[in-house]
Amino acid sequence: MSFRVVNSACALLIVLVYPPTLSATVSEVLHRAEQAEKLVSYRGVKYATVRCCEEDEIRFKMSVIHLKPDKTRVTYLAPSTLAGMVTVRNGSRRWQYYPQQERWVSCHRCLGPNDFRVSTQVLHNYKVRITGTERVAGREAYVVNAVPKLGSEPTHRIWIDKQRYIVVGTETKTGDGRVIRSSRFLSLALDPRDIKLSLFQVRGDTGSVSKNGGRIGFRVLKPSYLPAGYKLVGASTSSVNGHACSHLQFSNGVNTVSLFQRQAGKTSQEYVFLSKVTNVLSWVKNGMHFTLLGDLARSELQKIADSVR
Amino acid sequence: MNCKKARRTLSDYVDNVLPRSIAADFENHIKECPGCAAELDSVRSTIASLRSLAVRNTPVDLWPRVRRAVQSVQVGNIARPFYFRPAFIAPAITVTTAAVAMLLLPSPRQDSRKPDRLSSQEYHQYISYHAHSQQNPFVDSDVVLAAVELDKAKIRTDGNRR
Repeated sequence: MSFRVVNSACALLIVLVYPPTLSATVSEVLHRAEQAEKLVSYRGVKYATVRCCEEDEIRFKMSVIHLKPDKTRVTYLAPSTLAGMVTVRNGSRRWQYYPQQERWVSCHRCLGPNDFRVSTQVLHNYKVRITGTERVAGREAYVVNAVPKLGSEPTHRIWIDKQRYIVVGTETKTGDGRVIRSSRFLSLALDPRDIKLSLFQVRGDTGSVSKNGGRIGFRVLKPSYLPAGYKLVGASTSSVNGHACSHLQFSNGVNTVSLFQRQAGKTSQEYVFLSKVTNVLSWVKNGMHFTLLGDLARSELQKIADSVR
Repeated sequence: MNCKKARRTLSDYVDNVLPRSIAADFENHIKECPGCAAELDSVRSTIASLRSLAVRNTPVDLWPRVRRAVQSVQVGNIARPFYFRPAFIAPAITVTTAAVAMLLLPSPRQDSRKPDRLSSQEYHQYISYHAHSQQNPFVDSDVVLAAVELDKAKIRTDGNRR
């Protein structure tokens, strides 16, 4: 009897002194989730919602086909405004198909260092916890919460498949608890064998958006100020409206800020509009035109802009 | 006849339009009143002076000149000082407006920043690049892209409406 008591007391002491930390598990789950798309092919139907400012919630429906390691085709089914639009990702290349114009447009994306791990940066800047499990698309999934350690940026929740670590749901909330974006698979089939490679090949005219061949013709300026936890994670060059343009991408692991730079033209067809997707700041300085955009407060964007030199 | 009545009838007497009886009474008063007699002499001398002035004829082109002057006033082309003429006023207003605008605009450092001013086409490319470049487990880039496309459609609609 006394042996049992001592044993229990020791176990309790061990638990108190060394609490079972979830961080190792979270780290592992996040890292696996980051790599999952390279290892698993899948096909499914995904629902999503977006709420911009005080407007009504907009619901999306899309069909997703993923072929490991890096090919994805998304066909938008609803709302009617976007029905028929297709995005194709094949390695580092991106295309978008616009049904009204019946044409593909190629898009670039920033490329970062090969050894960059998003999960490491997320764990550094966010309090990440596994809060339980839920069933999504008929499969058991971890529920992972991420709350920023600093600042008032949105909080995030994702659902990660327990067996194959595919991200099967996402949710972004503002500080006051309002859901501004969410997505969740309604149906999901893993390892289908009938996915054709031709789904990820784009032929014909791919529009005017193209790479600039790396020749930029001006000195790319960087901001000396970045919010805590942010760092440069990608860079690229492209052509925008006939101008050579640089694109720098900064991230804290979850949130992303983009800085575009090009030479300022003499003629401008500028007019005022407000984006509802993200904050945008645009200015001209020393003959260069800059555009900064991202899900940051305007005051923070302003600080970054002021430090670009 | 007293002096008061004599002064009232003086002008008619000079013009020789008084009845004979009143004219006789006036002459009797003048003989007895040196003040009224002096007044009569003053009026007669003034009339004599006026009659001595030369008579001038009206110029033959007076009426055409009057008509031209009236027409020029109607079209607003009357002679004005140079600083009231449009050729002087228009540049002056332009220069003044520009000077006031420059004074009212922020300093050059702030002037270089133009928040929210960007062509929609360029913005569409930037926001697409931004959305495509987001890749982490917490952000569903397919949803971000969808939101971007809806935003583009809305901006296009608003632009067409304007």
